[in-house]
Amino acid sequence: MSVITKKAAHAVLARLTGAGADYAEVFAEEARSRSIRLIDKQIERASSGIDWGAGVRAIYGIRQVYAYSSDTSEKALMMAADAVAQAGKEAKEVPALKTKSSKLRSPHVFLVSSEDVEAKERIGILLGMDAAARAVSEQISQVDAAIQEGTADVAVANSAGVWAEEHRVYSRLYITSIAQKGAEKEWGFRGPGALAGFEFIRSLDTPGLARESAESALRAVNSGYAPAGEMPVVVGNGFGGVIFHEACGHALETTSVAKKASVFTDKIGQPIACPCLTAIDDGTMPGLWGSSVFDDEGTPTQRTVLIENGILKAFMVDRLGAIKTGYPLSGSGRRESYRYAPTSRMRNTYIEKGDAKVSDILASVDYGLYAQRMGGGSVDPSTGRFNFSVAEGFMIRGGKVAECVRGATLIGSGPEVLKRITRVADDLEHTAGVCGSISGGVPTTVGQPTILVDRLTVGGRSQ
Amino acid sequence: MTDPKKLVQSAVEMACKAGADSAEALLSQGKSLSIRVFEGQIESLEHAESSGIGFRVLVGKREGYAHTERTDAKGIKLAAKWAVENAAVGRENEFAGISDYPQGPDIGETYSEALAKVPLSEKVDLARKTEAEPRSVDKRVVNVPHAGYFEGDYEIALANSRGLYRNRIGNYAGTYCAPLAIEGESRQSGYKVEVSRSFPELSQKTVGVEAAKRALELLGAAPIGSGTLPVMFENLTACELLGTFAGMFSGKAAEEGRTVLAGRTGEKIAAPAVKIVDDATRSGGFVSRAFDFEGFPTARFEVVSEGFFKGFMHNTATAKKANTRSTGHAYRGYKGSLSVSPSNFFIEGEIHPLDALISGISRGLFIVDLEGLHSGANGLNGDFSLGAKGFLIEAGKRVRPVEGVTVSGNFLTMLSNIKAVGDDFKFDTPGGTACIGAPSILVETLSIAGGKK
Repeated sequence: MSVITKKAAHAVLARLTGAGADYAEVFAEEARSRSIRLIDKQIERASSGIDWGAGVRAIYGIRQVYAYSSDTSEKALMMAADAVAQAGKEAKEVPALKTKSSKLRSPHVFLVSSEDVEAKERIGILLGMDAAARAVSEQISQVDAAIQEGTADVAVANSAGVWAEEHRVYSRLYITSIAQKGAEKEWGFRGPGALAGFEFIRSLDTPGLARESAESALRAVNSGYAPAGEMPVVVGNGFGGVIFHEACGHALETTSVAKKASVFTDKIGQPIACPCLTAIDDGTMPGLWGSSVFDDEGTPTQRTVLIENGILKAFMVDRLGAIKTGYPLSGSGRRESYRYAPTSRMRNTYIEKGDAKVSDILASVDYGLYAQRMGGGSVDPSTGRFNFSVAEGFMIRGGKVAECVRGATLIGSGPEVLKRITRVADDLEHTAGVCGSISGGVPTTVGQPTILVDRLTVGGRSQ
Repeated sequence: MTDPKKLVQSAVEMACKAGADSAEALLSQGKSLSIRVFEGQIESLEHAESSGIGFRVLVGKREGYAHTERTDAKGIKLAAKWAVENAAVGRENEFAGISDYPQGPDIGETYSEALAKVPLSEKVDLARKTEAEPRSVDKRVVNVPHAGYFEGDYEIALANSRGLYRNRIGNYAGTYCAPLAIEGESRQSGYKVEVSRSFPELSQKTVGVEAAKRALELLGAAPIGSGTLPVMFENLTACELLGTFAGMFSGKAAEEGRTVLAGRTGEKIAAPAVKIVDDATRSGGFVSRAFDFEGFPTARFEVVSEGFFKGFMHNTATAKKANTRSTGHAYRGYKGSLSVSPSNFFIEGEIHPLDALISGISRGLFIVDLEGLHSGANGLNGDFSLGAKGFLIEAGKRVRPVEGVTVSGNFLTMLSNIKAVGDDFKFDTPGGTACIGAPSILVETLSIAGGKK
């Protein structure tokens, strides 16, 4: 690691603790990125870059002060530390600070480096996907596809005596197909990603993903609108977990728990969901997009059981959150880059699989909606009320999957829905995404098996 | 830190060695500081220093980009190599170019050494003073949730393989305050901000007092009935509106079909006295620049003159494609690709004293705050529907505060209906690379949806 030296880090930590900081930290990073994008049947742009810098943080009581610089010399970092120390108390002499290297064996494997892949291989993949998507139907009017690869070398030193270093490698592929019928347009999206090298991209059936995205778009543009009303809703696996992530997950981060802005504050040990529901946030899963060996505060990541058989067990806790709430660190302190102070964030969040079969769950519904693939949505963080669009939906009639419907939205509140999840299938799947919050956009996965929500408001257009 | 000139020139050399036919290197570095104070204590202090080099290279007719924040020889060499590799991959763009352009005009002093030397402790004191001020105004001011000090300090250096080298620096500082006043059921906040390049001048301002007065005068605000009324937008509110729709005048947006003004050059789109100007050469302006982000010299450009749409803001590539000349509006961050941006972008009209304008309104709305600019405004066609706060004007007098109403219309239609403007022209806080300015603007009529019938 060459972004900062241990000597510079120790000097900064000493300066800050000398100014009365209860906790001081240095985070340094070199992140390399490469992306290539296809649109209109041709490569639109390839770009690459190096992000490089360090962030200095001090916590005084429950106040946090942050400074960052892309000049990582000891002199520049000391200047940053001086600025941060302004918010502290009188300077005092403190004994020299030492950190101890945390050594953990990484469960993640990186085989093929981005630098060893020729551009023509990426171009071939993207052109092949464009052709595969367009071959599905003449109604496919646009294909937008990209490959993004990145590495991040991070180092964290803090006044708790931690020195942690980690090399992370990310690979992700995106495709959006647009189907057109007259003036109407609908899209289909796939975007698998992993904490892995280019071998992950090579392992994907890329023409197959392209066809799937085109078929999704096509089904939507050729279907009628969903009905509105309250009904049972079967939410499909994988990205369906976005509802739990947005409407419950964020409320289980100490950032909102500490402000008492969360409906789950003070609910540890209490039943908050149906006994069939266990939910986990796990930063240790090998090769998964939201995993890492350490979090961005140098704490080893953990498997955190949030809800077990319906009982609230734990929150996701970062340093400042631990100070404010007293809960133990869970390795959840994350940030987009050195430009952000870390805060408590999700990693790989999912609803644990159950033992029901998807076919049995569908067969148990006489009339309802099968939200096979979820789209985006919004949540009011103070109440947990959400509104999500259904990217691919079908009606369920007489226990059978019937016609495809579009324009459906699912409306409800996170805490309410937790109690209404009555069946959980065995087809757990994880889907990569980027979660945005106060410490920037971080890689996370959302996941779940197929679940049955026995009653949920469906917003639709058709009567 | 390394000399910026040497840094960008050696970067250009490395890109040419790596195989670029022509190359451009942009160094963008800056420092920023923001201090937030709450109840007399520093609530947060953020100090940031950033520096990055962005390459744009041409290999044949293909353009390649790469960036590095690691500005040692190793980082620059790697990014130079990547830029050339990336050029080989992208599609051809016959309009892309890298050239030597003439020197730009004189733009006055954009950097204050004195401001750069102000010690941190004085800035903290000013932030504290700004936060303390509102409470001394009136005891109905119960809280000051947002108050503080901010500053920016930037340097841009640009070099290309045709021998061009340009360099500029700038800085500014500001204070802001948003106190909360409560009386009975009514809770109102006021917001004021001041930006200056002179720290003593900034220290003289009473942002906290002004913001408190605004919060107090809004206490008891209630909706008014729906209808079509004359509407006056207060200067900073007019700035927000103009900034939201500035993209409609971009040559890049026209090229990509993202503005309804495409193909309408020469048409009358505003009232006769209305001018919309972008003037990068404005002496001492917060974002003034003699050259744009590809080194093209800037000039004062009237986008709308005497009510007529004179043309889009262009960089050399969008201009060439549209068969016209660059207006010196190239923009790119070191991480991004070449696009178009305004600089000091402002609106002018027939000026009247603000009081005279108000006294001429028999029944109308004076809007001092707009909400929902991100979701309630369509940058493609100019439609807007925004939550508004302000004052009801009857028989030429402010009669009571108003909230809970929605003002809607179309930005272009509104330009045609501008009756006059006030004598209170003001530039808003610089946002990135642009700074928007406007006086208070009186619009003939706009649709107001209120609470009562």
